[in-house]
Amino acid sequence: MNQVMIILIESIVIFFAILSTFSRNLFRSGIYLLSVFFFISIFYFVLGLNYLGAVQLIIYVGGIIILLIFSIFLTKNIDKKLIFNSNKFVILASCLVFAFFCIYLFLFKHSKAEVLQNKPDAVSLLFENTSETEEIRNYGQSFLDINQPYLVPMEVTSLLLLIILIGCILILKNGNNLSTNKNNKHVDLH
Amino acid sequence: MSIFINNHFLIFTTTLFSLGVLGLLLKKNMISVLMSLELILNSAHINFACINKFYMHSNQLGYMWTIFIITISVVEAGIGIALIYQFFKLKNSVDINQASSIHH
Repeated sequence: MNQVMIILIESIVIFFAILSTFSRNLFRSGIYLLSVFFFISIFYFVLGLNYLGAVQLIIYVGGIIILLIFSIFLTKNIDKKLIFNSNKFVILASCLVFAFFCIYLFLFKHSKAEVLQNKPDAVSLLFENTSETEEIRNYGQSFLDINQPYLVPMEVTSLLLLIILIGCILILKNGNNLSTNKNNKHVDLH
Repeated sequence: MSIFINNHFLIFTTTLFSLGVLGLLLKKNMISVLMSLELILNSAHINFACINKFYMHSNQLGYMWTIFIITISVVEAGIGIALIYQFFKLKNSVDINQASSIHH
């Protein structure tokens, strides 16, 4: 039953991902992507990864998609039909991606990795009885413990976010200066 | 065949990744390209989380990578949208073929 539920959610995610990839309306494509992210967060909740599910829901559904939809509005692309590349390129890209998919499945089938071969009842590990607070406490303790190897990557991640925040502000500020200079030059010429 | 049934999440993430790559190659609109990149990064972090959940109970390395990839995708979206907005202000278009020369 659990496995069926997970496969159902996976199918829904793939269905919306296909719609998002091949939709010709950019706004609809964004809405389908929102559905993809929403069902991925449900996938995490069903797996028992409550913290990751919440993070997925807050960051992707609440943050990135809103940002993308705002950027669609700002760039006035709401009414335009999406233009795909030429047919020749479409066939080439589809063949390339299909070949990649087949190679991956072939490697996967002939993999000698123990993790893939010796755990036939992996799905029975689902719905483990760990409470949400315990799970989040485990994350916090292992990520911020000085004896564990996760402390430095966590700090690097937070620094990266800060740097990117400043970088985004600088890009937008310098871009405004550039466009102002361009307008001034335009006025001077006339 | 049982290996595919028992590890169906790997097939799921591969399909998601392939769809992302297909979107990345096919689309001309920069915002759509950014959306496809988000799909690719999502497939990557689902893979890390599932492998950690099913096969690596002793540590939390997969979850660490998942959170790191989520951060990277936030960063990519922020920087990407800032650049797209500036590009749109310069060229009045978000067609990726016009971005071959980005200086104004």
